[in-house]
Amino acid sequence: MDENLFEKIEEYLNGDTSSEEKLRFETEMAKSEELNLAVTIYKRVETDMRYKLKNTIDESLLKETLEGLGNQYFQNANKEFPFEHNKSVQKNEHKATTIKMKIWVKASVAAVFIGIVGLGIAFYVNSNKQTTQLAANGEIADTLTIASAPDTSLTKSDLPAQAGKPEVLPTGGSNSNRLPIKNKRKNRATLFAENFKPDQVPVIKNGPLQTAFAQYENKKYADAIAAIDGADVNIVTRGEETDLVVISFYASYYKALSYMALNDGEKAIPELEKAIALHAPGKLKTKAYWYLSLAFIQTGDLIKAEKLLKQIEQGKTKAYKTVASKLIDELKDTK
Amino acid sequence: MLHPDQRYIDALVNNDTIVLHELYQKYSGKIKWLVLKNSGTASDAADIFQEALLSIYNKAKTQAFILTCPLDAFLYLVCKNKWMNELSKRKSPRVTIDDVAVYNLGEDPIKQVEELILNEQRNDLLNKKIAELGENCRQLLRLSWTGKPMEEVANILNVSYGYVRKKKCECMAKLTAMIKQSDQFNSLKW
Repeated sequence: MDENLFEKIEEYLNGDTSSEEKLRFETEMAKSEELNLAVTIYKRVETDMRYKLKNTIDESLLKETLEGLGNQYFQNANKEFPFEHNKSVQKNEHKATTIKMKIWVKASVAAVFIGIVGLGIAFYVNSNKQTTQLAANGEIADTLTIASAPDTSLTKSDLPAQAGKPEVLPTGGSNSNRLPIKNKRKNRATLFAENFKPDQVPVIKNGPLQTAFAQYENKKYADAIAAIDGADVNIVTRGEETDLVVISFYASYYKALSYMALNDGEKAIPELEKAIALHAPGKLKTKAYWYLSLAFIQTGDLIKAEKLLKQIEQGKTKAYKTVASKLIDELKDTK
Repeated sequence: MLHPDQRYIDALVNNDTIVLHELYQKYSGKIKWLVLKNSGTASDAADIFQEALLSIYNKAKTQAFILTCPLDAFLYLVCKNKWMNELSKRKSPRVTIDDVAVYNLGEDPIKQVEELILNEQRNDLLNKKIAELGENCRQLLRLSWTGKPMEEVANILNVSYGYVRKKKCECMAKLTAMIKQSDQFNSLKW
């Protein structure tokens, strides 16, 4: 199937066709099984991948919860039968698995012990090296010494592309199969674009930030910022919203994310630092650190970004550890 | 009317730890026993259980997922299917499963489970084929899937809008061809 046909599919699925063209395309689809299949696959790929990219962090957070529960329920429950039927058969097999599990449990305990000792040593060495103090919950820095330390170095990526390596950029009509080599600045922009997805609003939206959340969800980021500025975050409503720390956190956090969506990382940084300083619950704080590192990438401060990412990598929120490690690797290629 | 166990699906969607604790407490034992009785370990059981829950979560996030039978039965069927697949992947001589529970399920839940498993296998194939694409195609497609307008994607990649559109279609044509040529394609009911 040729690429022109895929251009037609793309236009059809994006609704970029006139009603006449649409009808013609649908008639063709009804006649051609191959075209119909191509449209189905195209649609599925687009839907699945868009969802996957949008949902990476939420899914990772759920995975983290499930892993914790899995460790708790699957490593210890071996000694009990889940239900009563077929007991005689179960008894014999149970003996065998219990013996296996005892060895396994011993090995696990030993591994965990070695891990704790190892981590302890790493933590001790690390804490002596860094000025940043780890938060009491062992997650990431509470004080922002790294984030706000004056940075006197100019990173190479702040400089324009090297002279002597001219880039030939393809035009719209080019048949080239290769994308041009991007300059350093664009690399950073790509990194940011690939990793920055405005976080979803909280499940419970009621309260003083309700309007701001609605604007944010509708991608009206400037309006969201204005609504946050106009909100009285000291209003006590019900449930989760009574937690003023969380409300204040959300105000700064979503304001920062809105600035970032509007490509204004400079304004996002102090908001995120304010959010972090509020000592919100662990996962929220980690989220704020993640976006702060992205804001540093957005503004070109790759050194601060990397330092923060390393802190996230050393923290205990697995979801962000994975993405942080990946981004650190990508940053190395960017420099 | 919604099945009362639908709340477990909501708990997955909302990452509600308290209800998920309850879910593990109630259902993990049976799945563990299913896997242990059929050549697996406790660790395999934990993985299968977690994968099954993640499949249900993904289904619930992308489409309205209405539970039409007790979660116990549904989960058991999903885990059983997954474990059979795993055993055949490991080329285990024994790919039939000794059931530890028998459920009389209607047609709907069985179809739902089949669709869930198929969906996941389609996703696996898709990811595999995306990984086989060249870096340029992967980068462009990934950016387009973030939901950014193509003008913005073009700007990020420092190329023209027309080029990005053309290149995307080229990459999608390549990806579709790779998917269609794979051995699993026909069995995955696209």
